[in-house]
Amino acid sequence: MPSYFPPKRDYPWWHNYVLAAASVFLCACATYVQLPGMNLMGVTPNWMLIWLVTWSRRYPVLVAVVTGVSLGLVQDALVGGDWVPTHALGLAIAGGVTAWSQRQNFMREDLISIALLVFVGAVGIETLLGIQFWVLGQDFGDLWPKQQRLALTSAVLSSLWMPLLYVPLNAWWRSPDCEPES
Amino acid sequence: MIDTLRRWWGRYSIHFLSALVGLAIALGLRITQGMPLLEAYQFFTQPWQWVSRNPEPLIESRTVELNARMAELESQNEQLKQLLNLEVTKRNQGTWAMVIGRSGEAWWSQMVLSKGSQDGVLPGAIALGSGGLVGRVTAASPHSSRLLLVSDPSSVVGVSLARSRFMGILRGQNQRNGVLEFFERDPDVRVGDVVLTSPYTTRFPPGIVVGQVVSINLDKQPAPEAVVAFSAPLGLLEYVNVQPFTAKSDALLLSP
Repeated sequence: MPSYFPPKRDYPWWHNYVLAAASVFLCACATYVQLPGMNLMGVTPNWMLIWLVTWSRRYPVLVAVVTGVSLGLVQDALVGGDWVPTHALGLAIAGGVTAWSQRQNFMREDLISIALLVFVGAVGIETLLGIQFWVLGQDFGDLWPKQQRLALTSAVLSSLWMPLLYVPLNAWWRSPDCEPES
Repeated sequence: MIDTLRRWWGRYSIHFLSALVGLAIALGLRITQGMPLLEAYQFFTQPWQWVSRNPEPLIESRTVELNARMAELESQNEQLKQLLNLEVTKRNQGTWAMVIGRSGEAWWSQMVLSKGSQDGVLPGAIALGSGGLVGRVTAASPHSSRLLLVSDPSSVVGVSLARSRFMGILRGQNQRNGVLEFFERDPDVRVGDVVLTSPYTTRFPPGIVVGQVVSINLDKQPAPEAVVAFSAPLGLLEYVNVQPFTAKSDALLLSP
């Protein structure tokens, strides 16, 4: 993938942190903003997951898991409410799996593989949320059809919109200004 | 094993520590229910917050709400009147009649309706459209009737302002607006005031919405005037609701 930024070294040391924080903030805001085409049956893309998949590919499993938990907590904060059910569980696993699959060289670095990861991740996150609701006492018969629809819609939307976030972030993080990949 | 860990730490300590800092920040956000995030979101989206969205569903739900409130207030009003031993004016359901004839020459003065004396539509009955008063039946044959519109110059309605109860006489002008002539020199009237049929009028039941004040001329001689837009869409009427009414003869005669 081509780099969109010229190879320079005169950015301050914290530019990467600022970029990460700003992009997470945008992802958080995107959950509130309803733009045309981003909303299918009341479901919006899971931007946090897309961000996490983009991020985790460059880091060890432990770091990816901690990042996933953090993003899940932020997402919980946006929704409000109790500590369970939490998004942190699903995102932690998604981050861990992404980092691990990268280590194992299971995944090649093309958009199709990333889309696949995002798709599986979204289904997994929604399913884990559904299981938490079920454990908390919701009726399985009510939950299951709704959850199925939610998981599939979220997965399709997230993987379709994935390049919008993945391409610029990945290009930036791969540029020589960022720490070189191990 | 220790060696592997040490190498891992040497290579990733900075990432791991950054991730922990991120976790701490996220935990803070979670504990405060995302308050800082919401504040930032509010700040950055300020330029777009007042972009108006599609207002039509809002108008619809507003209408539903107002109808419900009106029904509630009407029944409350009825109960209060009963408590005071006042006469309760029962609103008649009336009959719906189609507008079957309207001549171009007399567009603002007359209409022909599809119901007549066989259906209980007799001279003196009043006609309401969505929005308010439309007119009065002047003649009826067995299966049709002629309606004199409030916009006809010969139509005179005794009216009062809903807000300040000042009274006057409303004359048609052969157009969408009528002219309200006040009885008093210095009436309390504002643009937007709702005009109702007055309690003293002999030809109409009291309290029916007629229109809304659109302009005022207090210097007019001999009496101050206001221009009133009729609230029923007189130009678009296809159906009207006809309610039987017989003119009160023994009331204070304000209108001719």
